[in-house]
Amino acid sequence: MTIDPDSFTGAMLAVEGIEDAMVVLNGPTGCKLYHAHLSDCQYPRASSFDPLSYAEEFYFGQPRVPCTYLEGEDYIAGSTEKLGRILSSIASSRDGLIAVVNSPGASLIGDDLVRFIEGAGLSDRCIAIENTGYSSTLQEGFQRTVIKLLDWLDLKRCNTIPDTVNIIGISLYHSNWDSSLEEIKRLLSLLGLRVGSVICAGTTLEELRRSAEATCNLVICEEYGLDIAHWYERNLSIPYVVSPAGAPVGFDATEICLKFLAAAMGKNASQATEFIHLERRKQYRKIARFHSLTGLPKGTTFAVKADSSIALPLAKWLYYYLGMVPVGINTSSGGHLSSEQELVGFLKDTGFSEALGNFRSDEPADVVLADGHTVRMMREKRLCRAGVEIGLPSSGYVNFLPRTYMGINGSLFLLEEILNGIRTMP
Amino acid sequence: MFQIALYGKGGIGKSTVSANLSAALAMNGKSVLQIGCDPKHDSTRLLLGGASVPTVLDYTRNSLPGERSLEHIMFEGYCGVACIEAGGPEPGVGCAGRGILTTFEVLEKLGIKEIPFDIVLYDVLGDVVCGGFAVPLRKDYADAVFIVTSGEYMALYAANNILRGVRNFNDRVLRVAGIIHNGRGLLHEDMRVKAFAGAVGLPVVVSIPRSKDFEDAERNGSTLMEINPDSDCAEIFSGLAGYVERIADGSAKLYPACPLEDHEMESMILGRETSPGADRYYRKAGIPYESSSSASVSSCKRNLFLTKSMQHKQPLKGCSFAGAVTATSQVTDALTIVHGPRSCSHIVSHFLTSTSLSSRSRYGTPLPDKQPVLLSTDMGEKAFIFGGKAELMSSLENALMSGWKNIFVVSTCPAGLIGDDIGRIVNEMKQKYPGTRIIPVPVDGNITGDFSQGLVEGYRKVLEMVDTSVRPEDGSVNIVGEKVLSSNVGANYELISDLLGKMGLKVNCRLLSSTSADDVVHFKRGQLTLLAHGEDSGKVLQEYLENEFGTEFFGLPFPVGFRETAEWVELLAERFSAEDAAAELIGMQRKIYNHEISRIRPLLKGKRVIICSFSPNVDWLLETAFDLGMHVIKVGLAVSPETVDFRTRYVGMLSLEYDYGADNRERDIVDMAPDLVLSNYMTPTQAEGIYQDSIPMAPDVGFMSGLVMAQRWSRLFRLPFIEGWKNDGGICYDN
Repeated sequence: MTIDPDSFTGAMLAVEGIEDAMVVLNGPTGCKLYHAHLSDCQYPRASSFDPLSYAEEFYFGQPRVPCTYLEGEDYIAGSTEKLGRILSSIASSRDGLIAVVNSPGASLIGDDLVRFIEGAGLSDRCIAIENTGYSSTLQEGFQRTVIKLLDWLDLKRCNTIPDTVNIIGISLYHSNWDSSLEEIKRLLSLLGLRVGSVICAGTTLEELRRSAEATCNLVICEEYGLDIAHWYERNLSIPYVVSPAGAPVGFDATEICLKFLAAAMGKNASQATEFIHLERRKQYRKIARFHSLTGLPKGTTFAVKADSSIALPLAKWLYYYLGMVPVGINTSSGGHLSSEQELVGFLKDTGFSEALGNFRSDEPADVVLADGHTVRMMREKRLCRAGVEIGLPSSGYVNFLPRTYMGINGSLFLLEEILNGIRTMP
Repeated sequence: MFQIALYGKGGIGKSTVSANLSAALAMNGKSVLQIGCDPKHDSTRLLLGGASVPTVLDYTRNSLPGERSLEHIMFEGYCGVACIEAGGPEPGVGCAGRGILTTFEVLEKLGIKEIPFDIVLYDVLGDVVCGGFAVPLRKDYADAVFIVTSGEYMALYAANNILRGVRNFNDRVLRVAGIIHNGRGLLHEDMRVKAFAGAVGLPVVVSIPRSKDFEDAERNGSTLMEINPDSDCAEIFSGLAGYVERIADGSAKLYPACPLEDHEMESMILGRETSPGADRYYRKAGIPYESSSSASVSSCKRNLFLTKSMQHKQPLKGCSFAGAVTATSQVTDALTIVHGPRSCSHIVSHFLTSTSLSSRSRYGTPLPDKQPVLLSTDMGEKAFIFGGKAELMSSLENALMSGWKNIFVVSTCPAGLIGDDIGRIVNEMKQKYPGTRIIPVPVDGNITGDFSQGLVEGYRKVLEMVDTSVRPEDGSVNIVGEKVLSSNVGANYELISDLLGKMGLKVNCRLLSSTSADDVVHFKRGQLTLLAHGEDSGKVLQEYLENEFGTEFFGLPFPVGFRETAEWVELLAERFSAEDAAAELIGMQRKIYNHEISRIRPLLKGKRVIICSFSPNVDWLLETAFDLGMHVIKVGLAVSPETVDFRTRYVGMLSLEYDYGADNRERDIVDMAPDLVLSNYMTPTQAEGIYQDSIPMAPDVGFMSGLVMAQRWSRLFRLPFIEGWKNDGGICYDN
């Protein structure tokens, strides 16, 4: 089973989520190779895997995350010489922001990265992240690094662009993050709102700078965004909205999220809610026919492994909308307390408390909604009828159609996967 | 706010000087903060009536981030001096330098910089021993650095080292305030200190004589400034405080750090040019040998079983930790505990699981019943500073209580850097839980080397399980060094196993690929051992097994392509007297191979091919190409001759080029106009008239490896040169 990543990965992905930014890793290649692969897969900016195309020193055959390849002697003498070379090499060959990130081991050396950056005359485009945290959660590492970047950008709130919302709480570590963002943008347009910036997932530095002009921030997943939203509120007086239902997963949570945002922004949510109701009516007959034939999906068992802000609305929707039975729900480390607590309450109220923390990758469930590795494993071992990939690590499935588990399209995707899956044998 | 740091050799009296200086500054009406940066946390004791206060690091260890507040770690001492102690790990464990880094991070988070102190004084442990202890020298901290020294040689030597530390922070800002001479009452001490100061271009700001007044004050748990403010020494500190104030307001100057070379130090302080007796003792140490042994120094040299990249000190690719876990995790009924931060376990578990899934989808290899079981000790900030013994003990305890009988403990670089002794911890646990098999694998991340070296180290540790008393069984063979991260590992094994079965042989132990601990224990049951791959780590493993276990190896690695496979089968059959079965098998395969080659040959005959490969094993491709009548016009190996052992049966028939990069390939495509370019990765080049295809990094073994490729090429030449989608990329090859 794949062990959860930690704050080191979260920090790297916060920087790599910015289109014109690049992590320069002060660390060994062992830390580099995986993160370069992850960044490249989640946010491809190159068309070839050919290592010969990235043969320059520091890249080790990959397009992302050049590194100082720290080795035995560097741990004793410091990485000064390599840092000097890598910074001048990267700075002269690329524009944009450079974030020098220490690996956990490198952070023990105590190299003064700030002094180094100043010495190289790169303070205006280079930031030092000396300690990404040790074994703390990915979400914490992501948020801490985003805040550090925002501090460094020294944003000022000069003017406000009406009806503009920043999206916070989506990262490159979200499965199909780009499709999810497209869906959220589409839904917000139904409220007459425009997305200003997405913090930091597929964003340019310029968009990040303009995030200070937004009217409001919308937090999608609390564990990835609430601290960032607080930062905007504290430093730039930008209010934030976080849906009490959690992330917009399933029709119900999507509707609540939109209504909540509309109320905060003084907008009329009727067009958006009508749109959701229309979709629900459109799907009704399909579900009804399936149900009349099989009695399903009512009574179908499901197991979820996800962040709490996603697990909560998902579990509630599968239970209330489809009448499915929770048999195992595990939330990732770093979950937000309120959604964790609400999940506990929901399972208790529905009489399924035993499902909490009982996600077992070696026990069958009709429908499994989890990371790609787990879903693939359970499918291959015929432990589930339907396996829906809603998190990383990825199964490697290449999507051409936009796929998301968020919003209206996300609900349709989940319905399609579940209903088609449960009528097959595992 | 003006910040000063006091550095000096351990035991020189820095804390006494710091506390008295802080007191003097406070008595002059300044608001002062003193931060003790020494694990023994006694810098501020004299300001606090002799009391020992909770340290920042103890506090962070025992409190939750949300509950922390400065008032829990900052104490008011004599004359209102604010006192903070960084603290640190016990001697011999953890990383004190990391502790200093953390202290400064914590203090900053808690808002220390928002308090308007006039003077902040850092009292820093001894020499500038590592980056952590140099933090007060960073730009955001000390505006001025004082060096405390006596006239003893080692104290002056340390003072000189501190100047080196300051110089290494060369930010063109003058920061050295001068030397504080804390006298020991030695003969000519003043002279030596002045001579040193003169040589490094610094003033001796004050000379503090050895005085009983200090001892009296210390007995009272107070500074001399407090209990004897009218003494001569107190006057010196008042003067020093005035000097600090003058530096702060710019009326006294700061100096550059100009340390001496070691020989200059010796010459100046000890008055000698060379060390007496150096000629007597400076020679190579002899190695004592047992009695009449004729061993020479060279034969005594230890075989370290290093991979080539380690021997040539090339940049490390991957880390030993990942290699070692790749090996240990193949023992199906063993747990591998990763002693390190969670990111290390995540990375390694990610690629192990990905490989299983890839093998399943690409080759239909069944998923293992049990996934590799890894457990992370999740070393956090606390473990980084104080050592990770508690975390490792707790993980081991949990594992043993859950019933694991075989456990490997693999260390990451942070664990190695802070000096966690996993061997000692494991021994403690073994005593507590007798009968369990816990094997430490102290590779320390990439400190031991790269991935391949780690693989070797992992194997070596797994081999500690082998029962050397077991005797070989007839017809039983071992397999060593399968590429477990290749998706065809299972398929290749099945094929080899099938070939062996046809010769009446059976596999005893796969070392290591989905192997039980019992199989490893009975490794010596194997009559002959087959090396799966002849690449570097495999050869080192072979050498190790031959040396340590007297293992008999078969001369050839797993065969790829028709000829290699036929030869492999023949030789193996000869070894086990199964020639008839082998002949029948080869004859049958030859018929299939020849028939298919004859069918495809007209389609490919005369085609000009460039082969570009990361692997030196290209004979299987060459054989196919030559059998098909193709012309191989270039073989480019994307590796250096020092790192690979390239062997071919087609000597004299090839145009070979090492270090073959993208530019070389592009050049040859233009100059040589091949019909077909074969590379491990498809090139971004698109050219009419040139086909391209990929070749596997780790090819399938067996008779048909090349034939499968040939069948593909035969179809390739009937397809468009450039498919439609390739016209849509524009300039997409940049990153």
